[in-house]
Amino acid sequence: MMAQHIENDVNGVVRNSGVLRFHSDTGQYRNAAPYSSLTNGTIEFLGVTNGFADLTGNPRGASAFGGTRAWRVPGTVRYARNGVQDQFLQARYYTDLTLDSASVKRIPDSVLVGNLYELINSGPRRYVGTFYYDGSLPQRITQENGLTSIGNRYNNLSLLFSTKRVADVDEVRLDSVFTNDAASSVDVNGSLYWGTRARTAAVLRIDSNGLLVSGSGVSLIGADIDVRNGLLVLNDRSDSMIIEQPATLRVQASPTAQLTAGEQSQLIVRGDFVNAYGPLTNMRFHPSSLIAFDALQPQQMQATSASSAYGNLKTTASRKTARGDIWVERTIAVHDSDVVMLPYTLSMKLGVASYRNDAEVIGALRRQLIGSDTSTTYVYNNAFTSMKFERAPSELTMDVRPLTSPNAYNPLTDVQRKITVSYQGQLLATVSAAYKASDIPSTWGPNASERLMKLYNAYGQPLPRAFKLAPSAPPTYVRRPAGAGSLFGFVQVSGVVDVGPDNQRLDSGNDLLLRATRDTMRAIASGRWSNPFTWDEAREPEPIDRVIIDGFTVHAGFVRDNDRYAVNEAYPDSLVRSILIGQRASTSLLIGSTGTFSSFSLVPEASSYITVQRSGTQRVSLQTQDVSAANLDVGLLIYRGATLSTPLLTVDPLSTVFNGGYLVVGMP
Amino acid sequence: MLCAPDECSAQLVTNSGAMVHVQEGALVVIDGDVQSGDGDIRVYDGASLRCTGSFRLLLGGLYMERTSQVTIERNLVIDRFGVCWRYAPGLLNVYGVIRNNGDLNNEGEINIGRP
Repeated sequence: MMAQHIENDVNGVVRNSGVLRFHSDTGQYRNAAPYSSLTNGTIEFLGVTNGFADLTGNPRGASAFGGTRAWRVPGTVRYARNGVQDQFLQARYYTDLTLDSASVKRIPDSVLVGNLYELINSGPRRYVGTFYYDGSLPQRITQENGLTSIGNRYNNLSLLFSTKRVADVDEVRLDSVFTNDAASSVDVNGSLYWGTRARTAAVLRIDSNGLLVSGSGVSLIGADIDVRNGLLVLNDRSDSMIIEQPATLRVQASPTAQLTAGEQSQLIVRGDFVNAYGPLTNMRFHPSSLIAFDALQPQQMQATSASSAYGNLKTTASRKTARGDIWVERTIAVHDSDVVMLPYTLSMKLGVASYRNDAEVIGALRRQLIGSDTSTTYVYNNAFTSMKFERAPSELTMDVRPLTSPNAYNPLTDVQRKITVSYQGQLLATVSAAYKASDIPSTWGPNASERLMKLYNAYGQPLPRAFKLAPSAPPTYVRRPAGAGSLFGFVQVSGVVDVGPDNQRLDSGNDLLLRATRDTMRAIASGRWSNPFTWDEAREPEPIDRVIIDGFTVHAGFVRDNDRYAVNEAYPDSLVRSILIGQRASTSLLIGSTGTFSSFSLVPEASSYITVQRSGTQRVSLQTQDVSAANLDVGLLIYRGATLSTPLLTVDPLSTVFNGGYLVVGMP
Repeated sequence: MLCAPDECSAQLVTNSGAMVHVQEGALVVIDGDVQSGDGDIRVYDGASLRCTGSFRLLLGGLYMERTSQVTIERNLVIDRFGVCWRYAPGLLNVYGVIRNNGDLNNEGEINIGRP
């Protein structure tokens, strides 16, 4: 059978401005002449496997047209087979490439087009490997929009050396990987659908109502994405889109510049993310989507509106600030470093707030609490600042500012951390407030101690004052000092309300003050002196304390049925520095004995005293200790066999003192 | 040789310096090979030239004007100083190989081989 080639020898020149048409299935343009020997024109292949080769028929020969970029085939190559059998393109560098006529076109890896790629009534195209647009002048990416991977979709698409464009009437789809080099910015004026992974090195501009949809795999964005007028979509269930340093995902100041994060999508920002549209309503984040601010350098987080809330928010690697208010639909995770929201607010609903490495949110964190339950502890600005509601307001904000003086601040006793609580609606909650050792000022006096830490409802100007929160009987203070497994210490108390007595109420807009000093302790239940639950600070009074008994019956030295507390008093010979027995009904201090345990004394100093204000209405036996659970209304009573010593005793007019044992007044 | 021994036809037309004009509308069939030395072969508008063997241009040229049609059923060989010029819009059909070591100029259509 005759060979059916063009064989251009070393001296041959082919000036073609018409069409050189190869009919046989294996016909080749074979060449041994210099590159300039062939001019622009059209070479048309109608066979199954036509192509270019050197004079020996070797397609990899140095003089084979299209084998290298320097030997790019000039003019147009047209594959125009019209038969039943598929037509196989040759992997070459082409200038213009045209696919025509009905045969299926098989496009291998490494087909590169330097100018125009045209499809004219072409049969289906089957792409494998990578298709390249590698011209040095701007190129249009030819539409391939097959809806399945069966055909008419690029496999991998690589853009090199110049600006490329998806025209506004075109739709381009890939099955696999998209890449562009640093010289190949892309104007997406039509629709571009990535397949799996992507790696960009030059700007992508979405304009003219264009659309870019990410692939199913990881998209590494090494240069800016500029959404001017159109839509960027992170596809449903796609792997991460990572905006690498120093790239910016920029959404311009227009309602038609839009961003959508699909279901379970992830946007990882290591560069920057900016939305310049003031209302911020041009973004949509599916509730299951995640945005993570993951830059190693300090980073600003893009703000959102309430209607464009992030699904889930995560911060890692460095300190974050905010460009405005941020709304989160579900969870937040703050790792490694603090999030500084000042002067803005981070708003969330009922989702989990989690923290690692002692990071926290500095500034306002608001929770919308409609639908909250009584079994969940809602974590706020750090892992140990929280609320657990029995009655929840519709929303509650905690504004936490470390190293900031709270209302009514006393540098001798108070933690220098400002925690402002604001809420709307009713409140009954267990409140936990945390602090760091760095919040404890060096000005604390010798009597201040973390183990004495309590929470106060602290008012600001014009009349700063603070009321200790001791809301429940029995009291439920829980404390952990800073440094015990975490940089945070915390104080927790239950029964904090919005309306009620001063010792129960935390007013909206006030500060939750942490004070680490001794207050005058108050009895908040009838019970034994040594029982911690008798007292508002959930501890037995110590010699340095001062106590008030008002409205309750407190007994010492023996067991009564109201609490059946059998542990002896720890400091019988230095109970406290002062006792005030108040005026209210059922106010009594009963001193009794159990065998040899019978003698009690205040601290033997001239300043120690007992003051009795109650005018008792009961007359009881002094010989037999009343061990019932009943409250007694007697004022001060010493049973037979017991001794009470006090340096000073003041008995107010009409008040009552009953002594059946020994009452010693004065300094020994 | 224009062709392998088993491919050679019996006839050989040789042009040694003459100008051969295939005038408009004419039909010329050469049953065999053609070898053109110094001198040109011109096929004018509307004319047809058919060669059942191979066609070799040693020194001269083959010029196909406008709508003329030339068919070479075997090989077209253009030697170092040969010139082949296919003007638009006509056809040149070569069913074998085009071996060019001279000047091949195409403004129309050249079909190489058969399906």
